Amino acid sequence: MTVDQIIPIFNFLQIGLLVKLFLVVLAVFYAVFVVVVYRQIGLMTQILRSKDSVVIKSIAVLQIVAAGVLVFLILLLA
Amino acid sequence: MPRIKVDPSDKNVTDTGIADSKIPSEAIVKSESPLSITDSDKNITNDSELDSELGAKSGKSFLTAFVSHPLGISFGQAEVGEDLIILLRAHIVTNLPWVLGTLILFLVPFVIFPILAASGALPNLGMGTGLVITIFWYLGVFTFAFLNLLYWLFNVYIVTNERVVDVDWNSVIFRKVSSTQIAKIQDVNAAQAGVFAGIFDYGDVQIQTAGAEENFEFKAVPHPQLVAKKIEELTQKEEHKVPHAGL
Repeated sequence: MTVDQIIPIFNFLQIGLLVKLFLVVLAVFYAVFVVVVYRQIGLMTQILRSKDSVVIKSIAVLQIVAAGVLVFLILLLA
Repeated sequence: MPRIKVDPSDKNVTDTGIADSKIPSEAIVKSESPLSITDSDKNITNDSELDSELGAKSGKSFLTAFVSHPLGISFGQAEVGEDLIILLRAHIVTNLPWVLGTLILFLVPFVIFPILAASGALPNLGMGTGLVITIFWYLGVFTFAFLNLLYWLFNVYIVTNERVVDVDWNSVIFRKVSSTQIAKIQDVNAAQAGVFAGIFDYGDVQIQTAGAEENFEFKAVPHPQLVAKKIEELTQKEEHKVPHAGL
């Protein structure tokens, strides 16, 4: 393999790595964001209590789980 | 009052048992004035009418914008003896913009991405990356919708028998709870403007408070005239409370 053939592959790998890095950083920010949302939901349900608060909190927890799965998928697939 | 005794041997007793009995004069209580409906009686009637009207317009579930005497919902900062009378949110119609936005965002991958792919504008990143990006996109759309729903759910206006409370949650990291005593309310106005507001009966309720206290505004709430009437009634009740004399 000549240098001229290796360089485009290296460039493609760099782009791929950059995209992966970008997605990982974005996913981590998203995970932090949904944790903050969950915390705020907890505070708001203390102010306005209802039997349906459990459903809302459960959805927030599912979101956190989904964010974690997303980070894992990015590292695995992307 | 002496008891009236009916003598069975009385000849005036008919077969039906009804006798011409003499009612002692002491038994007749003459009222000095004819029976009249007092102002307090009128207020009781009006209170019950207003409350029944509130009840009739009240929603039943947590996902409702107007609830009168809500069951299963409580205000965490309520004091002892404080009853939740009305729980208000912005009218459900005000959620239409973000609902439509969510729908459009949901459909974007089905429309825009194939067009971009066909035109060659999308870089060739591989199946795995494409899948991850798609999942990311829909998670983002879900978060957008969920957040907007939360903002609507937790931006509430509460009227209790003692206070008026405004709970604001307009962004993830900002929340504010303001309240004022019913006794400090000086004026209540209901305003309704716009075609949608007229059709769906929602509007603003402006509450002016005394002195340096901040004024309150209930924005886009259902049945604003009814809400204003109820708050006025509560302020009048506060004004008519007789102060207890110290003994």
